[in-house]
Amino acid sequence: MSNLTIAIIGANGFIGGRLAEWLVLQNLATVRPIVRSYKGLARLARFNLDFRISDATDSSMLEKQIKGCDVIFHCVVGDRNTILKSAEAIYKASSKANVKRMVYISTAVVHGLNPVPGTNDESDFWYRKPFSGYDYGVNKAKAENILRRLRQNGKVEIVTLRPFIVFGPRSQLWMAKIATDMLSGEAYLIDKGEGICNTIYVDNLVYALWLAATVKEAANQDFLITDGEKITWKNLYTCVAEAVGVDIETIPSLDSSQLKGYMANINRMKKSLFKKQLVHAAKLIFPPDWIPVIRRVLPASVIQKLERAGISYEMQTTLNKSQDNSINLMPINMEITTLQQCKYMLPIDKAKRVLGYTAQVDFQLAAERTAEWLRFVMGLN
Amino acid sequence: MIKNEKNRLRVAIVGCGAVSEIFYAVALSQLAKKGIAETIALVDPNPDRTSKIGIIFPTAKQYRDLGAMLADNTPDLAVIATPHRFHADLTVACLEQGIHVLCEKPMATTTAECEQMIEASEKNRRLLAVGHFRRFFASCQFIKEAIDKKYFGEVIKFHILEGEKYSWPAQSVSFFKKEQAGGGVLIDTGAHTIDLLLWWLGDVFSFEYQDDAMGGVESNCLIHINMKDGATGIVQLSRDWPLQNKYKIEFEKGWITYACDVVDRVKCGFYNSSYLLNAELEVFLKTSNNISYQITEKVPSFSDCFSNQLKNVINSISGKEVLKVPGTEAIKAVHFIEDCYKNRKLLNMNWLNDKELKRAIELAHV
Repeated sequence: MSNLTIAIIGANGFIGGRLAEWLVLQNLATVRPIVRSYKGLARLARFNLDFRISDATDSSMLEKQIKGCDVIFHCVVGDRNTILKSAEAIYKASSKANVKRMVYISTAVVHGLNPVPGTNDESDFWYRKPFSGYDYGVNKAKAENILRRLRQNGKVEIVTLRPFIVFGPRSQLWMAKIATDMLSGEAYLIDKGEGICNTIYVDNLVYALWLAATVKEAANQDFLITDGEKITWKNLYTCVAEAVGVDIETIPSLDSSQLKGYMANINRMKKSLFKKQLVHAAKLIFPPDWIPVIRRVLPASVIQKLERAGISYEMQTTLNKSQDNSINLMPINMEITTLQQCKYMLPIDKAKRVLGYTAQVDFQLAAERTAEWLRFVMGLN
Repeated sequence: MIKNEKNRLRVAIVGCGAVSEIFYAVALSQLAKKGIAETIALVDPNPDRTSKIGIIFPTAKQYRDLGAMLADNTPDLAVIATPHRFHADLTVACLEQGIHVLCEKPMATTTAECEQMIEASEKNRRLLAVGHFRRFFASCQFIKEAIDKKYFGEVIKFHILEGEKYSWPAQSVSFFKKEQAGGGVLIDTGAHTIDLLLWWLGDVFSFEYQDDAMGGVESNCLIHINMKDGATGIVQLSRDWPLQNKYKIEFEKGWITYACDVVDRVKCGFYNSSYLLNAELEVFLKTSNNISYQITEKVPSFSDCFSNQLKNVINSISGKEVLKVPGTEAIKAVHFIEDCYKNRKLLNMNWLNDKELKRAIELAHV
């Protein structure tokens, strides 16, 4: 084991949790997991570790908990406020606690959900929201900017990794959700799943994080990081489909060139559904003979506003769960739909050159291991 | 039974963590409004915790430890809701002082401790109840009845999947330390699961137990069980990941499923039928030959079941009811859980690599 003492802030999440587990089981360092509240210890408590509780946005609280650590991993997830505040608070706490290096897990989405060809580690950030309500990439870009500003005058080294689609055991978004969508008939592919997925298996990511923590030349550098294999969305979905016993060929595919028309249809149906829901709600509140009167007296502007609200991003789940048989189209998730249209394989030359990174687990083995876990938690073994 | 001048049973809450705040305080305040019980003492080493529950019971005196309370006050009933490792000592101390006890699950962390608790209860002629409140769910009682009366024939198989990403608002690290909790998900949520299983199906003949503790406490476990009556099945528990949260019991002629913590509904069906019953349970109050005169009422809600458990204890103290979950019943779950831990194997975690599995075995001490 190295002499390093490592704090993982946000150690109860998907990546932070696996990082803690991996470091302990590889016997690489003394691990100090830090979580926001006691309930976050449930999975970590499988090991006998020096657990700490701290708010990741409170630098004075953090400072006490990271004292004596050589390296800090920032694995905190959350909303805009958490993303921005935790970046600053963790850096400041690290500085006061004389931590040598902070490893920040950002995302390749700082370059957009569908990065343009030619994107590399040094490319500009993409500050436009890909669609209403989605600002994850923008917030992570802002957090990276905060860290860049702090490190200009600070003494703590920062290494930033930008993974894209992180999958593996305990991945909610890219494993469990796909599995439940497949079983409920709501999964779909865009263009037969031919888009490039830019995956990174979580074990490859934690290996890269370890390199980011220990390779001297990595100081104050940013890295795109993937498995380095050309994996398509169909490859990823096939991994899940085989685990849960679904024939991948039964998963419907939407043609990206027809998405505009498809979305227009969805929106029309949403409007229609929303009107029906309004009438239904009114029927519950008012006697039936009031309905025609209400419809007549309701100003057109109010109806328009309500309809607009009905086609917002947030309404997707409502549509998803609708019992209205007139909705025959599949619900569309804008994030997945945009991601699946990626045609560009992100480069990892810099990570190879500076960190000495190569994926430790190939996609085939990663898929098998993930499927094992998926079958276990779904009670399919 | 000693009661106060208002003829209410006097209750102490010993341990003012999340379960006391969320469940016991609510149930006891309902019983106070009905004039059945009065909470007179709150005990917890953390003054913030007693103050928080003290808002609900402003007249209750607050103590930092049980000794201080016993020197000053002797309630009729103590609710013990502390970290698991304190259950036995605190329960015995109360029973020795002539105080009836309702101990939160698990009854204790070892069978030997449970035996001491039962002995103290018998010696001092005081009741010892254990908080397995799922036995008060109509859904669980219906399954017990269906098994006992063989509505669907003999039980052949069972498959229990119960798990959530841990969300209990734990107020200390005690749930996650072996020496304080006695274990992880098995002794925590699993105490309820195992209690139901043994209540429904009787004694275990043989089993094989696996979990993922690697120097700490398990967050996942898997048990293959053969019951003495011949039924076989699997229990899988997690506080790491949401599982299906469903109990399926297969009989000779049909099956029943119970969704975790759903008190008023079960699904059941016969193998040769094209239909299944997705059934809401109601309580038969009165029946006659004429179907129009069947009188029913809704079954108790989830929170009502907690109150009903307390009412059962209070009514048992005054001899009006039989105690539904005495220590002599609850010890069975602790005994089985203890056997599981003694015979534990490392969970097959085939998603780890060989080097990690080797280290996991070293850390797990199996």
